[in-house]
This record gives sequence, C-alpha cells and structure tokens, in this order.
Amino acid sequence: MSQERDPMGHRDGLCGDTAVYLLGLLDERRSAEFAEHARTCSVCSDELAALGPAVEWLAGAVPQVQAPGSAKQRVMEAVRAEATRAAKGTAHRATRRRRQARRAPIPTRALALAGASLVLALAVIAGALIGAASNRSGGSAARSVSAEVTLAGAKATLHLQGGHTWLTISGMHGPSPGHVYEVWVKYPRHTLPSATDSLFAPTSTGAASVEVPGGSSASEVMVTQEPAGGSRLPTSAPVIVARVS
Amino acid sequence: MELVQAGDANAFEVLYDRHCNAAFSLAYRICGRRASAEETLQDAFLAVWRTSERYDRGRGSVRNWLLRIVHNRAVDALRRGVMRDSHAQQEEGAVDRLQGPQDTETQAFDLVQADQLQGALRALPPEQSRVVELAYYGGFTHTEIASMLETPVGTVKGRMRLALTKLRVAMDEAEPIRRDER
Repeated sequence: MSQERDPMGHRDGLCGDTAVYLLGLLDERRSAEFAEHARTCSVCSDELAALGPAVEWLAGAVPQVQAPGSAKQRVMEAVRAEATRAAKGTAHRATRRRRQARRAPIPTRALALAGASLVLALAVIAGALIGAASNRSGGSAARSVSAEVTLAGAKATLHLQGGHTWLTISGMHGPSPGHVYEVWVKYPRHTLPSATDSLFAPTSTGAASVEVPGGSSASEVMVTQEPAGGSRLPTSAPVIVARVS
Repeated sequence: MELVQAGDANAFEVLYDRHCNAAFSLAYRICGRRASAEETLQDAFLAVWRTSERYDRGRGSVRNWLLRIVHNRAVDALRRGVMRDSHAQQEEGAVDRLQGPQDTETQAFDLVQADQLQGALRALPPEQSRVVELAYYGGFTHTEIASMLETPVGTVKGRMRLALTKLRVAMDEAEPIRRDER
C-alpha cells in the first residue's frame, strides 16, 4: 500500500484516498480503515457521496452486447432447483417439528454431525501436515497451501494473495450427473462450514480455477459434491480440504 | 426485489432478463473473453440470488448492486492473472452487439445511456481517462498504474479523483436519464 504524502494534510494519511477507495483499489485492511475514517471526516464523507455515483456510472459506460442464452439456462436451472429445495426444506422442517413435539428427539443428526466432524478433523490434520511442508519455502506476499484430496490422481492448491483466495485443481474428474462441486469455508471457532456461491465443474482436462469468497478469513476451505445448484449444508464428505492457517 | 428476497424464482428471472445484457457487457469489457465473461455473469447472478437478503434499497438500485458484484468478480479473476494476458478483446466478433430497433425498452435505455457515458469518458483529458480505465476496466491497482505510466502514485490518485469529479459533473448534466429508478 502506498505511503505517499497526504495531499489533504491530515494526520492519518487517509484523506485523499476517496477515489482509490471507490474504485476498489485498496486492500481489505486499508479499505476498512478508510471506511472507518470517512465516518468521522466530513471532507471524505462528502467526497464519497459526490463521487460514488460516478463510479457506478462507469459500469454502464461500456459497449452493450447480448448476453448468451446458455447462461440464462444454467442460472435459472440452478435457481429453480434451489427454490424447490428450499420449499421442500421448509415443509420438511415443519413436519419434523410436529413429530418432535410428539416424542423425544432422536439425536441422529447430532451423531451424524459428530461423525462428519471427526472425518473432517482427520482430513484437516493431514492437509495441515502437507500444507505446512509446502509452505516452508514460502515467505512472499502470495501464499500457496497444498490441499488434501481424496479423488485419485487429483491435486489441489489453495492460493492466498492480497485478500483474494482461490483454488487451482488438476486431474479432477467431473461431478456425477446432476451434481456440481461446491466450495465451503470454515471460520475459526465455527463448528460447521459455511456455503459459498462458488460452484464448479472441472474442464474436460480435469482442471479448474475457483474463487473462494471469504477465504482470506477462513481457517479451512473444503470442496464437496452437491446436487446441481449447490446446498446450504454439505451433503457429502469433502473431496478437498485445505487448511488456511 | 422483495419477491426475489422471498425466494421467488420467477421474480428472479424477470430481474435476470432486465439486467443480463448490462451485466454481460461489463463482464465482457473487463474479461475480454466471451467464456470468462459468461462465467462471471453466471457467478454474479447466482450470488445475487443466494445473497439477496444483503441488498439494501437505501444504498442504491438493484442494478448498481448487481453491477458492483459483476465488477468485483471480473476484477478478481483478472487479478488472479487468469485472463490478463489476453485482456485485449480478442474475440470481439464473437459477441452480438445490441442494436436499437429490436431491443426491449431496457436494452434501448442501456444503449442510449452507454453512448452518453462513453462520450463523457472520451471527453476527459487522456491522462485522466487512462488511469480510470486501467483501474476500473483493467483491474490494475494504482501502484501498478503508477509503475506502468512511470508516474508518481500521488499523481495517479489525483488524476483518478479529477476524472471522477468531472464524470460526476457530466452525470448531472445528462440527468434526464431515469438513473435511480432502476
């Protein structure tokens, strides 16, 4: 991050960064600092209000082209599948609540979660050992972590750089028909992983490069196979597990 | 948008139809490749569907929120270095440009607006439009731009600020467009 002189003469050096903030050029830390600063600096706050719409305007200042119809088909398939599943889930939860009101709950879900957590913990430990080994020679701004992969012949590496996190994968076969691979992130002190909106299928050569939203603050990144459209909770064991820290 | 937030897939389809061309156009401008732009478009719309509860009407239009997501996704891909080598729009002929007569009202509006906006960008002094284009459409940071142009970082930041200020003035002059209704 630049440390040049503050053009506005303010002591924290943040005044004058309005344009770069609005254009999304500051890293996560500096961006958060600027946002906090703008809450109390009337100069920056006024400038944000004045220039913000100009940046949004830039999004429309491009030659207009036709979106491919195939994209809509894929998006709507996923959306309709998720909407249907969500509706079924709501009905299922209501039915289950009625049953539970009539009898003592059987802790099968808790047992299943405990089992899944144990499997996950073992995978993460293995991933950590491999990841630590791969990181010993690191030290640059970009960081790579080898992931534990259960699919034969496949390899995966998690990359972290400047607040961006992504997975590169090779040798991975495609998901079963009607399924996709889904990326999950697990945050420190959280028991269950959180769903991301990163769904993917590798190319015909078995390669994939996948964004991991929220990966920079996660402790673990996982990939599972899920029904088309993805899931809100994992429905299968992870095929890739990478420990971030 | 309230219906989308309630999980109504039909309402989402209406939103998709209304904004898909603007979203794809932005993605294509940044990615420079049809396949990458299509992937970005899909990711962005699925993100809108899955995180629709995060949309806050008080902070701007759905269109602006969606285009911010598209922009972030496309630039993330660029910064990963996946597409930068071929950033020039090599496949320019592989996409269909929107043409006025057969388009819907929204698309016609996008065309008129895009013309105005591109005119405003062209009216900027070249050194100012260059830094904004490199930053917003090229995914380059201000330090990278300073290095490319062999110009002090402070100068680059100043040019960006001046460019945005002038664009804002141009916006106010072109305001008959029903910008905030969208």
